[in-house]
Amino acid sequence: MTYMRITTKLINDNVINNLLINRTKLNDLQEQLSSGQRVSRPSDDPTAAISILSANLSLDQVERYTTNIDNANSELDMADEAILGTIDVIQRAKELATEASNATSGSTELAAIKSEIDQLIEQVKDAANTKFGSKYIFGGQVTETAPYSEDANGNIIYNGTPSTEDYQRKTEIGENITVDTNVTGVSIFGQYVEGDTTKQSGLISTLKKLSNDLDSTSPDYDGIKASLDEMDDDLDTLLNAQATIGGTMSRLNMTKSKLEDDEITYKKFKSSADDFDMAKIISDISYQETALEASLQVGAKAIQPSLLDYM
Amino acid sequence: MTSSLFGFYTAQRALMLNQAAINVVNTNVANINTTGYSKQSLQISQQSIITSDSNTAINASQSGIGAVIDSITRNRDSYIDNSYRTAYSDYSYSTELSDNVTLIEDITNGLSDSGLTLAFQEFYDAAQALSQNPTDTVTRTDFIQKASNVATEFNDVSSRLTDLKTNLIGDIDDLTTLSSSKISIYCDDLNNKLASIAELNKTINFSTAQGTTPNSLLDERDNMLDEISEYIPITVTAGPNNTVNLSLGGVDLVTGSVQVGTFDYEIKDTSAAADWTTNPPVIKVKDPNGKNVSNDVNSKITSGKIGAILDVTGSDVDQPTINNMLDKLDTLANEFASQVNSIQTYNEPDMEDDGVTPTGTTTQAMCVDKTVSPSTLKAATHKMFLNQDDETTSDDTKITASNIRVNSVIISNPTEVATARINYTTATGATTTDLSGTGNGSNSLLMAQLENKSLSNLNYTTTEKYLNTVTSNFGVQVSNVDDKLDSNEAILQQVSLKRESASGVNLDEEYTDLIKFQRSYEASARIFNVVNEIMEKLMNLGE
Repeated sequence: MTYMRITTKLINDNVINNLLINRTKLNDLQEQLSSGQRVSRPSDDPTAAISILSANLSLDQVERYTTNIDNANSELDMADEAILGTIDVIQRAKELATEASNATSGSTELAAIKSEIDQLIEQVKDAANTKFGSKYIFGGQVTETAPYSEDANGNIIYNGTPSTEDYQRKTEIGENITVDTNVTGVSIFGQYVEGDTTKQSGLISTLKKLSNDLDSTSPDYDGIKASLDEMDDDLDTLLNAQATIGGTMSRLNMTKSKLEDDEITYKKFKSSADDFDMAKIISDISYQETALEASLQVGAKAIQPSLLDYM
Repeated sequence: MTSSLFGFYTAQRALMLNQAAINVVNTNVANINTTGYSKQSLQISQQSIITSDSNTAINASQSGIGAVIDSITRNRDSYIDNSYRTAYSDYSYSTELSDNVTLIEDITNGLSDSGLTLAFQEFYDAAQALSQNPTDTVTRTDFIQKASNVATEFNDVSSRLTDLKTNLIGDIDDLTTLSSSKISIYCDDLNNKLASIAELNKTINFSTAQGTTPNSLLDERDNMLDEISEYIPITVTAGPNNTVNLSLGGVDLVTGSVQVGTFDYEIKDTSAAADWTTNPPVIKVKDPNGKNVSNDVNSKITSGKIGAILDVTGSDVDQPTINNMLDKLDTLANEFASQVNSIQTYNEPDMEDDGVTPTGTTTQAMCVDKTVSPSTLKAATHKMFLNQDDETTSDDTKITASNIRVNSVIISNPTEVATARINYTTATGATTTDLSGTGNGSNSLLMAQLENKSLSNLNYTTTEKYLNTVTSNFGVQVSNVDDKLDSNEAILQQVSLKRESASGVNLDEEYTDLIKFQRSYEASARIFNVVNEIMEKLMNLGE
């Protein structure tokens, strides 16, 4: 029988080597358990690393688009509330106009109605100058200055981006998918400049004219009656704007719930690559501990005996 | 007839021999844990008398006059030694390479929660936020901050990689760093070891010529050869009188007692200016007079620690090297900066579908003029990223990871960030209305959308995906290096065991020998007594 000459140092080296291997394995497992991560550097598992990196990228985008949607939703909500308030104004103005068409000229009643209409005009102007954070939402791309101002002659002028120009402010809600988060004030509320028919439109113009018609010395009853029809048109405009905003918001919400689904998918994908099975790792650890103990015991037995012990 | 005292001498020789044998056992046991020690054994032969006279009658001397020590030899197998050294060179190569690529991986780790990946994400986040709130000063400042972070991260990663490279092979712009580089220190150590080999060869040659075998010197020399193979792959050939000759890929290093080759790390052509591509530092071999024996032995050093350093700092595109990583980061930094700059300063007439006929309108990136009230838009003229502090001479094509920086004009004037992009009639120029929309965030949106743009210079991937690919590909290479290390370690382990088995000390064996020679000594002493008694009887015969 051939034999290998086993020297004392060889046994020692072997024992130490095996102990080191077992300890390293145990240490790796304990590190994984305490960090909760299976892959802490790409070389640990290159294939898993690629999955984790791409999942991280997608998760970051999902988070970003969700934030964008939340911001856009808040801004659109603000616009919606402003328009809702203005619809109430129209209802009140219609009541007032109806009352006015039956009131006698020169009466204090007309004066009172006129003064309330003027108040309503202010209210519309204020609604049109609504701010979201530090920006005016109805001025198109002009967000730093109030879109509506009133000059010394009582003209209510729109200073924002005209509806014929690029007024849309866009928010990205998906890869290269954007939505418009604003409507221009002039197309909803209109404006009024005395003597310039190109700048007389919408609700503001209707109310302004009504106010002029209500001049208590010579009220224009035909004008007042006509304003009732105009107000119906203005109401339609506002309702249309509300529908547009509502449509955008429901699109945003749909996208958001899709993003939430995506988030779950990506997280699952990531954890399947990165996470470990707790039960498995704990059983691996106890298995490794047993192996370490075994090699310690075997080592102790292997190193000990030599002829010296029996002399 | 033999002499009456003949038996005394035979017994005395036996006593001395057994004492010597016990001494060998003693030495073996004492050196059981000495690195490089090889078990020694006593070669004993019987001593016979060569009689000149064939007519001499048969007598006691014909059975010999006892035993003598022939020599004390080392249990050593030069074939295993050679395999061990090759395995040790390969293993040392793998450990050095693994250490360094792991460092590179740590520096560029895309899996960590910090670093370049995060800087990119935050930059695009900030661009999105700015596109929604272009008039908000805080958002604007934050965007610039995030752009600076990207630049700083690039600078940081690049400088850490460059530092690593400088530590390993020195910096070509500062030739004094060459001598303090790891490779140069290794070369110095190697030279000392070569000198020791030559010195040992000299003593060994002398002793052997005198007829003794200098076992401890031989062990020391073999151990030194092992240590040399940690740095470079060596060829060892036997010379006369137990000496060895050493060479590296055909270039002689030690011949007998002379160190004929000395390693020197310096630039290839010392009379010309240093340059990484045309005149890089290389390892040369010089003769004792300082003359070049070989002008460049880099290609011959294929394993060992020095081989690993040469590989990790080399330019092989398929290897995980510092240069490859730096090149990829430079490409990314350059492409990213150029793209952002072109969005930041965009000013082009629009074209029809044919691409050549102007439509009469112009699209231009705009920043904000806050000096007037209400603030208006104005043409954006300042670049976002530069390769040097002076914008006028800055060149986009020269932007690298090491020099990318945010334009200081933009840092001190955040309003210069082009957030808006407008379209106007070329003939009339931008009107007051065109310039009133400071809430226009479309240019910032384009910067944010750069995130998802596939760029031709980045192999048609996006900036972040390119970075991910670079780090994960490097991870694959690192994992290959680690696998190779494991297998080289296993091979070394095997060869070591073989060598230990051949040359190591086994205590059982030594105890057996100890007892054997002890008993033998006792027996010889006994014989001495018997001879003595015989003599005594002889002396008293006449009484």
